[in-house]
Amino acid sequence: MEQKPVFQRIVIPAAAVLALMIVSINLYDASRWWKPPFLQTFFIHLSALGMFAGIWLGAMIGNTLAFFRGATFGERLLVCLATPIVWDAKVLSDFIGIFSGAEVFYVCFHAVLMGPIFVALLCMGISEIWCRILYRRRTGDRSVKIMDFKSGLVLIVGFLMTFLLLYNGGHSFYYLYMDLYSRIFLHPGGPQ
Amino acid sequence: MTGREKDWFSKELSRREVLKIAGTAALAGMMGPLAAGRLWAGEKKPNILFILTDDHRYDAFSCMGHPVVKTPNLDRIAREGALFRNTFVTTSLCSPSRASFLTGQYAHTHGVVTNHTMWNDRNVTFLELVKKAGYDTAFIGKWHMPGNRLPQLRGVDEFITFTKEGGQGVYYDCPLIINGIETPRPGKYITNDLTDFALRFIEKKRKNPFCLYLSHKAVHFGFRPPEHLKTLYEGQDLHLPPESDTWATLTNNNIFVGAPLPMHMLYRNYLRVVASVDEQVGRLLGLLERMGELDNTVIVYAGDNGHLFGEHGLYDKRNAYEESMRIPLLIRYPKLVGRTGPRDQMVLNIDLAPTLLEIIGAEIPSFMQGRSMAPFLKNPSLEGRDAFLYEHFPVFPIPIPGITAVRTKDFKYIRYQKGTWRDQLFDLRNDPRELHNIIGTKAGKEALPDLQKRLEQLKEETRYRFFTHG
Repeated sequence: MEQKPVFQRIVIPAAAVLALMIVSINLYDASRWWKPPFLQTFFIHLSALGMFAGIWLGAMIGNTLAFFRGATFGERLLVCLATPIVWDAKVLSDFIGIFSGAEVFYVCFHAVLMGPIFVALLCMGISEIWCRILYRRRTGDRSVKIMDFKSGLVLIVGFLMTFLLLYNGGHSFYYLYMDLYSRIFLHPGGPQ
Repeated sequence: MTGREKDWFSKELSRREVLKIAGTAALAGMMGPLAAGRLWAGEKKPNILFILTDDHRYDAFSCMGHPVVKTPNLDRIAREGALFRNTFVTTSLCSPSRASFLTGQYAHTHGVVTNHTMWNDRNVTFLELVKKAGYDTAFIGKWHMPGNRLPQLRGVDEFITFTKEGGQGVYYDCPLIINGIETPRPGKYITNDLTDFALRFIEKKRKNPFCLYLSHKAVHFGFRPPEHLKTLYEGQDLHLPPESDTWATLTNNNIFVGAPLPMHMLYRNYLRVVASVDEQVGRLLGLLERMGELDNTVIVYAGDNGHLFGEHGLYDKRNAYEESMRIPLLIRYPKLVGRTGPRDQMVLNIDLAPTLLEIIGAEIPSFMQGRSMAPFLKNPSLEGRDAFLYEHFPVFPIPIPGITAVRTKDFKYIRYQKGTWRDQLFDLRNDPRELHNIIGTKAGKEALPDLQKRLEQLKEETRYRFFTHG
């Protein structure tokens, strides 16, 4: 596959998803006060869709764009994780000043922050499959496998971790996370 | 004995002083029979039924003009008793607020400052004091205070609670700890199940009056109504605030408070669960009526904190906004309620314990920081407090900073933990929904110094201290 310059194969795919997220978040926040109500409703739904696509499903878009621009697997991984990492950083910044540095670090392991990362891996794994199928159909090049070790690994890790985080409506992981929090930060000597 | 006291006792009294002392003593003797402790001499003391719900907003009642939910039984308590329309919690969070109801103290005093900080068994609850006054007591329902064991609740004869999901419980099949024994409850809906236990406790043959603390899981998140109410209010306009939208539960960090579902779905189920609580309150009123004990029972209904459903773009509680810190409070006791109907004094969750103690004629301990509301029951036009302190301590992992706030009748000044959010000032007379922060305006600058001073006064009076961990 022809490998396009870095700007085209990495920056544009990553920036496209990032832009979708940033525009959607700002549109959502602004449109809350818009009138008439139908205009507000329309833009709220539109921006919510944009946020969902950008934050949670962005890897499918980014990976597809990067794949057909000749990005390597590592570059595609970078593209897929760019938006979740920026979103996580934004969320994490809201904790600064409220909690200690160690607690802010522990927030990184919260399902809300780990979720977008692992969903991105899952989405990347899924999009790898369709990109490869499409590539094989277009070029007739059978040397590209539908699933290789690396793409299979991100799919499995993404799926397993997403399943773990969402199991029992997310309650199980949450209580485990909070129990560990209590042991580390509230009662370091063990339960009181 | 101090030197000053010694001087007083050893000094010779003039005839005028002797007459003054004798007169005071005689007056005190005449007043004696009217003192609270003797109100019930020769008469049966009233029973107490305190019903506490979780996250029930102050306005989610038909008697508060809610356009959708119907609460005929709660409305009855309000109609035949007193409806306190300006009731607030001092901390809008389950565990701190519950401990405040029990102890009559601020969170920074009783120590349960968040949902993670431990209940201290040394805390004295009103149940303990009521027991000492000769009552049969029961705690039935949600305890939900941190710790790896249930508390040693002194003065509680029956203790039925649950520990599932960190003490939050679940709506269906929630195992109960019945006087220390874990008991599965398959097929049971929790509000009805707890009410069944409450009815059994009330029905017991006894010589003493009873005091029942009935604390529901409802109407907390999960919002799962009983089967027969699952389609109630289906298709009805919910009249959510204009700035509320379907996705507000998932955006702007609201996802951290655990509600990954659309707002309308959650709110409709919330109202259904409110209706289910009302049904169960009806069962309690019915039993008391049949037993002939209705008018001899002080019935109090309250919520542990409010709840935002999209106001300010927020979901959940904790903030110092009205929807979060304002709670319902209904009190029915015909023997004391002078004139039925609304009361507009600002009253607090910490006022409950001293109120109940005053009503039964028990002494109000000096460590209680609330004030009795009994005078407002008798006389609705009495002047209430001019301001109160609101406090919130950071709760991991919710990105809401520590808050201290002062609310007066006209203004609310909210001060956030240093280095986090911008402080806020609202003119409640002209902006009851708190949409315009006037802190930087001319009007705001005029009002701010007095409010800052009052906030500091209140912090000093209540011996406020900030807790960073929780």
